[in-house]
Amino acid sequence: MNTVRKFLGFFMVAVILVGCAQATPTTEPVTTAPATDGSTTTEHEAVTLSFLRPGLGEDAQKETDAQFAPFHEKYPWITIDTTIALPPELATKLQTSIAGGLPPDVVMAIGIGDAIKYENSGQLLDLTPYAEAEGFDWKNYYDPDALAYFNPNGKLQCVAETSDTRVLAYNKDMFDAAGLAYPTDDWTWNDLVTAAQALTKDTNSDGQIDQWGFATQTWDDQPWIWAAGASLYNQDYSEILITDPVVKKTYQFLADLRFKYNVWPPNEVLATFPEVGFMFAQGQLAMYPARWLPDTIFFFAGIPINWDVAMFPKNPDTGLRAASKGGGCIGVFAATPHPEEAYLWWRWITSDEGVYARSVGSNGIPALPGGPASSWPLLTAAFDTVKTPANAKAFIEMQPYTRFSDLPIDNAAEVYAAISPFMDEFWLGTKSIDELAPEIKAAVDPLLK
Amino acid sequence: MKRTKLSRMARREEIEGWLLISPWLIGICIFLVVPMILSIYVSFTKYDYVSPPEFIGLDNYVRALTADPKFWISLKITFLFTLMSLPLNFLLSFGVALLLNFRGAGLKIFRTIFYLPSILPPVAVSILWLWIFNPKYGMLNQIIGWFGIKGPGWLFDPKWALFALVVMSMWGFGQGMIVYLAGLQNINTEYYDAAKVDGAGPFRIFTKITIPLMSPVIFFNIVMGIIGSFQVFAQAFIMTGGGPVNSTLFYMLYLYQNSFKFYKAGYASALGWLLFVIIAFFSLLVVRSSSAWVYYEGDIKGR
Repeated sequence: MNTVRKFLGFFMVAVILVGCAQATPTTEPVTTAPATDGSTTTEHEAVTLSFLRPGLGEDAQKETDAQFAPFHEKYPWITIDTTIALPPELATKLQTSIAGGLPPDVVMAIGIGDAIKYENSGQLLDLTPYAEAEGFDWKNYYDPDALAYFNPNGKLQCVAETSDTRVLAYNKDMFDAAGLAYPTDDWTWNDLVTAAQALTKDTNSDGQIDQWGFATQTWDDQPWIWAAGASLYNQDYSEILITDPVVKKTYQFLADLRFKYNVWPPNEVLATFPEVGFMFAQGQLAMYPARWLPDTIFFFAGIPINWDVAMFPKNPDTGLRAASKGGGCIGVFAATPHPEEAYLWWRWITSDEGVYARSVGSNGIPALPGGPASSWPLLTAAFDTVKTPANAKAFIEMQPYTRFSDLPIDNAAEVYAAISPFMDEFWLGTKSIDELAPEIKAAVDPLLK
Repeated sequence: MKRTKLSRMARREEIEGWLLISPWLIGICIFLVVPMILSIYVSFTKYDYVSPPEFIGLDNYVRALTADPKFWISLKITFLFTLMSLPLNFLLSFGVALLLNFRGAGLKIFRTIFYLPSILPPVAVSILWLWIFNPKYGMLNQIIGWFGIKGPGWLFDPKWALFALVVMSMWGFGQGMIVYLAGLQNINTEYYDAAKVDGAGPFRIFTKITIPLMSPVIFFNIVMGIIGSFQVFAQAFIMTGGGPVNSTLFYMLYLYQNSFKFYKAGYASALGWLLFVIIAFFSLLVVRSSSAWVYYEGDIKGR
């Protein structure tokens, strides 16, 4: 019985201590910061901001801390408490924290669908008054396309975190072995098919293809349609245009890559790799549309393949080329108890200095900026230092042909889920686009506004 | 005086008892009872986690039952899975339990080996089976290939994907097996001895003694199996995402999609309560039928 009493006593004391710890308000130390002119000092109450951003574990945390050093020098009274989440978990984590009434102060990588929902519901702080108060000409500072995409209501609420694109990555050794010339900027889809056919091989004569000519992610279909001069959705995203003959012809071309020219591996082969880029990195794929940061840093780090990139080929009929970009935006949540400090932090990470700091960061590899145009020259110069791929500037040259592909509507996930089963049949080759297009339209249009 | 002291002690013990179980009680109230009550309310609302819930009456339930084809697709898939996996798992776990019930060398090792897979985390198991099922590089099709048969596309083929998950579900048969084994070892050997003396053969002993005396355990496993198979989620979430062509869109996966991908918390709650009713109905059906086929030691049927 004594043991039980001791346990209960300990338990009660523990409960009281925990309760007291939570009930006692934390006293925030006061930090003195030098004033801008250096003559006087300004006192600021120390503020801690919660910041949610995407990343991969502890290394990302260390890198993040290093990236923020210039901000801390400028605003020493503001501490950034960073939470790093894997990109797929970030949205759920954010959603849960909002439902619980405790969203982070500032969030990076808010997906477009969520951003629109949070803007419309007032969850994201309207930063326009803060910008105007400091005379910040934000409309001319940020990339106008990205600004319009993430802020359809015209207020300043969310700014693109990065800008990416896709270029054609190719394995130089495979091209050399096949006696083919490397891709050039004037390549068309026809050149792509011809080369892919020559590069698709059964290298060990076991009756199975083990070197494929070309592959892409099946969901990244829109750039092909854009290059054909069409669009998968109408301008206000109220209708899917999949029954458009040009769109159908483009899908037929993609189906031909897999089923007619036999250069694009089937799903069961692709599924053995986490991403198409891994297949390329393992020397089983000759060409694919590569992204910049994830592919260069994660896939090819230390992998001894001889590769380079070129601009993505043009559609032979229209002479247009296109690529997609995704990524989210950076915003401040209206529930923040420190809106002024959150604005300062948001302002810095979306400024050319902040973009440069977090883009080049500690790994020395630049990212493509999503915010201010003024950061472009800095980052373009940083690209000069990139040794592999040799033609890394293709990522910058491809920018004018790059568009956001994620649907800027708040029920985008539902639309994708509605399309997915139909496209499964298409990519399996069990139904043609002519058969599927009306079915897709009937399923998707009611979901579009 | 003595009575008062005793009653005070009893009261103190009662209080201490309550205090000792209080962490569990508080936990179940906070993490189970309150969310359950809230989810009933949410199921009658339109709620996206961001805007305040908007009361819409029975709309979510009506929509699920009358206007959402995916509700019926996911229900059908879950039913099919239950119908296939439950008998197969019963046969395998009961059969292996019978084999392991024989006394012999190395039985403890075999029991451990058969039980081990069922305690592995579902994520690890799912990733392992992703490789086993790969049509091109997977072990399963390589083995089938030894007999000159071209294996199917498994998870990549809408006709085979659900069956592949049924096959995979048998991986966890060890859990049922261990319960059956415990039940078999609990049967008094005197029944078998008496039956042998009376001249009963192995088949008769099995059908007239083993099965009836095991019926409470079989009953328990069937009820748990129904509940478990209606709630299949992890395998489909990790391995197929509900595809291809919605062929593995289990009910729980569809519920999850509505809640955490489409942010339709009200509709997802309604789906959850509909599932509760479905599981309760089938569990009750089995419970009601149990009087006809479940025998408890000492029971005399027909009384």
